[in-house]
Parts: sequence; C-alpha cells; structure tokens
Amino acid sequence: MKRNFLFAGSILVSSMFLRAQKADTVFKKKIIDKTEIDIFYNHYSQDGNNSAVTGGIGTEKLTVYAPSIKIVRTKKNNSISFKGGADIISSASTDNIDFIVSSASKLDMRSYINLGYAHEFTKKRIAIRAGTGISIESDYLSLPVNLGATYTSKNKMQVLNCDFQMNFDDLRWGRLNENYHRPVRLIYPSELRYQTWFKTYKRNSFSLKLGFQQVLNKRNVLGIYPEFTLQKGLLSTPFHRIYFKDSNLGIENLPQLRQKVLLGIKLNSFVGGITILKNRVDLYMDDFGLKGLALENESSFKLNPVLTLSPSFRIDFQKGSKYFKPYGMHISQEIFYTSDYDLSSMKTYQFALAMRYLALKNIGRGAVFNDIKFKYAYYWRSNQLNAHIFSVLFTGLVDHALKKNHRKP
Amino acid sequence: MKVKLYLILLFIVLLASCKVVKPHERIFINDPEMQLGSDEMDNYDNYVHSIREGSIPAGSAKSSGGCGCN
Repeated sequence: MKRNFLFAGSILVSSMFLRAQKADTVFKKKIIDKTEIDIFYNHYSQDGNNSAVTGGIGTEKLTVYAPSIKIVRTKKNNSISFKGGADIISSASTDNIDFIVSSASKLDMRSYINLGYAHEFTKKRIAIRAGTGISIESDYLSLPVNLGATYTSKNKMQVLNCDFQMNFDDLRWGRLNENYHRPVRLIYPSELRYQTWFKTYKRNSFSLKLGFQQVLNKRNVLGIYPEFTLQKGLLSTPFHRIYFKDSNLGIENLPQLRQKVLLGIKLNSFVGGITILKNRVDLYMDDFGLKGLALENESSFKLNPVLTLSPSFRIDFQKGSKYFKPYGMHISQEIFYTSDYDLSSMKTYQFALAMRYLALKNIGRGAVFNDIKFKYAYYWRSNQLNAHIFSVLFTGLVDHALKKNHRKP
Repeated sequence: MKVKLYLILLFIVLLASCKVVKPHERIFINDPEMQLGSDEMDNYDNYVHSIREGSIPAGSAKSSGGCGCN
C-alpha cells in the first residue's frame, strides 16, 4: 500500500514537473521578423578620347560618386524593400554640349528611389513580387515597374524565375532647373538648337527576364538566364554630334525600335575545401547589328572562416553596330548614324580583386553587423577607354524577435 | 554555329550529371559565395558594363538607354 502511494505520488510530482517544463520549452515556430540593411558606395573614374558628345573625338573624362542604401523589412511571409541612392557625376563631356569648359567640370546628379513588395506562399513554394520607383536627372526621367515570380521545386533542386520589367523614360531637360521645375525641351548641342531634330521625347523599354537554376550535385550549381527586351521611342541621344565627311554637322540618329536577345549562363563550383569558381558566359545580339560574347571567372578563396579573397577576370568581345562609324566617316545621305564608341567593335578587359570580411558582430538589441566587402576593378577597352572602379559594401541585420525578447524583464 | 553546338552539348552533359542533394549534404551549395544571385556590388558592375558596352549582360539592372553623356 505504501509502495502504491509512493508510486502514485512520484507520478503526480513528475507529471507536474513535466507540465512546468512543457510551458518553458515547448517548440515554437519562429516568426521571421527582421530588417536587412545594405550600405553601398562606388567610386568610378574614367578616361578616354572618343566622346560621342563631340562626334567620336575628345575627352571622356568622368568621375562618378555613387552612394546608396537598401533596406528590406521582412515579417512572416511578406517583405517590403526600399532602395535609394544618387550618382554624382563630374563629366568633361557634359561641358562640351555647350562648349563651356570650366576648370572644374560640371556636376550633374542622378537620384533614384525604388520600392518593392514580395510575398511568399510557403506551401506552394512560390514567391511573387512587384516594384516601382523613380530615377531623375537634369535631362532624364525614368519610371520603372517590375512584376515577378519565383518557384522552388519540392526538393529545392530547381528554381524558376520570371520577371517582367518596364521603364517609361522622358528625355526632356528642365525639371531640376531653378527657372522651370518642369520638363521643357530636349537638349541639343548649342550650335544645333536652330531646329527640332526629334518629334518624340519618350523612350519605353519592356523586358522579359527568365531564370532557371539547377543544383547539379553537392558542389555545383548552374543558372541559365534568357532575356528579351523591346525598346521604342527616342533611342538616339539628342546631344551626340555627328561630323559628316562633307563637313556637315548633325545629331546621332538611330531607329526608334530596338529588339535585344540576351542569354546568361552561370556555373558556380566548390572545388576542394576553400576554393569556389564562379564562371559566367553572356551572349547578346540586337537588331542594330550588335553582337557580344562576355566570359568571366571569379575564383573565391576562403582563407579562413571570416576572410574571403576573390580575384576575377572578364573579357568581352563586341561586334559593332551597323550604324556606327568614327568621326568624319558618315555621309549625310545615310538614314541612321552614330559615332558613339559604346556601339563600336571592341574588346574589353576587366581585372578585379574583392575581399570579404565576415564580421558577424552583435552590436546589441538584435542588431548584427554581418560583413564588409571591398572591390577594386580596372576596366580597359581596346579603343583606349579605361576606368578605375572602387566599391565598398556593408551589410547588417536587425532581428526584431530578438530585440523584443531583450526588452522583456 | 560550333559555339552554339558546344554550349548545347555542355548543357546536356551538366543536366545529365544531376543528383538529388539532401538537406544535410548542402554544406557547399548553401555557402554564401555559392549563391547565383547578385549583391549590390555585382549589380553595380553590371550597370557599368550595360553603359560602357552596347551589348548588355543578362540580369543587368539597367535595360533602358539612360542619358548617355557619360
């Protein structure tokens, strides 16, 4: 009898203990509640001697300072993103629209804001997203609209992406001018403002971007990205001069319709214990007659758990547009013409070195400083244009669930 | 034509070598450096290439023309 009491008592006590423990340690599905922050700065410095503003000759000296910030707030299956930034441009070629050459080149600025929303249907493994924004500079306004979806297979071996992107652009100048604050007119070179060269000032672009990612095995992943773009409207730049063979002067004239087909292929491979090879091939063609093939390799070496060093090399072969000819080579009877060397036949090389430091430093209240990445790249084109590109990226995270727990007494 | 043929062959060989990778075998695939997506730095590189080269890379942030004075 005594033994039975002891047994019943121990069961009761242990059941009470179990109940108490259950209240403390029961499994709770963690709700994602976080904010990711990327702070980015890029410094771009370029020089060359084929400016399209002066008909394919003249300085292309340019410096761009480009800070930006991206914030993504995620709660449960929803996320809202904000990206804002500015490109502060010091360009000698901009001076040459009016031939007013100052000792310090004219400063221009492009400011932009992008907003996005994404929702994930966890059970169906589908994510949908939409976004819009605005990009404005003295002679350009762009309104982008994006719609997209991602599907992930049940075993996570395949990921399919589909995005439709539209850009509605207006090339009129005047919005940022203190005397107007509204779009007024297209900007032509100063000596060519005696007539209207183009009837339209709009440029609309529509892009269908597809993506197919496949995990090949434990160490290899492949991505294939076909893309189709249609552009309509004013595709010429209204202040690009053309110097004809017969000494006439005109403005770049390109067709008002352009179709582009692109294909990107990426293969990332984890080789051995510390090396990751990232290979990329890009193919391009359009109905201006441009064809391009770019090959890129980035080899990332994980020197230790926190430090990764990534040298990279990129080479691009471009067959020029059928509308391109250098300074003084076009004849005025031609319908379409440009002396913009971006559309010429050339080879391009880029050497870069990136370093990533994984800090994972807890800075309190659920905030974590994730990592910092530096990159320097030297860009060289076979027509002598060269550029130095320096970038730095800080990424951080605030875990709001953790932050709430900190507040509790 | 030959390049296209080689690319198709390479694609077939790669897909034929696919193996289902279980969650506990994803240590290499899940490494941050192995992700195919682009970070802000890659996006800016693509942006520069899209301006300085008439032939833009796939996945580039900029599909429209832009000012072009630079």
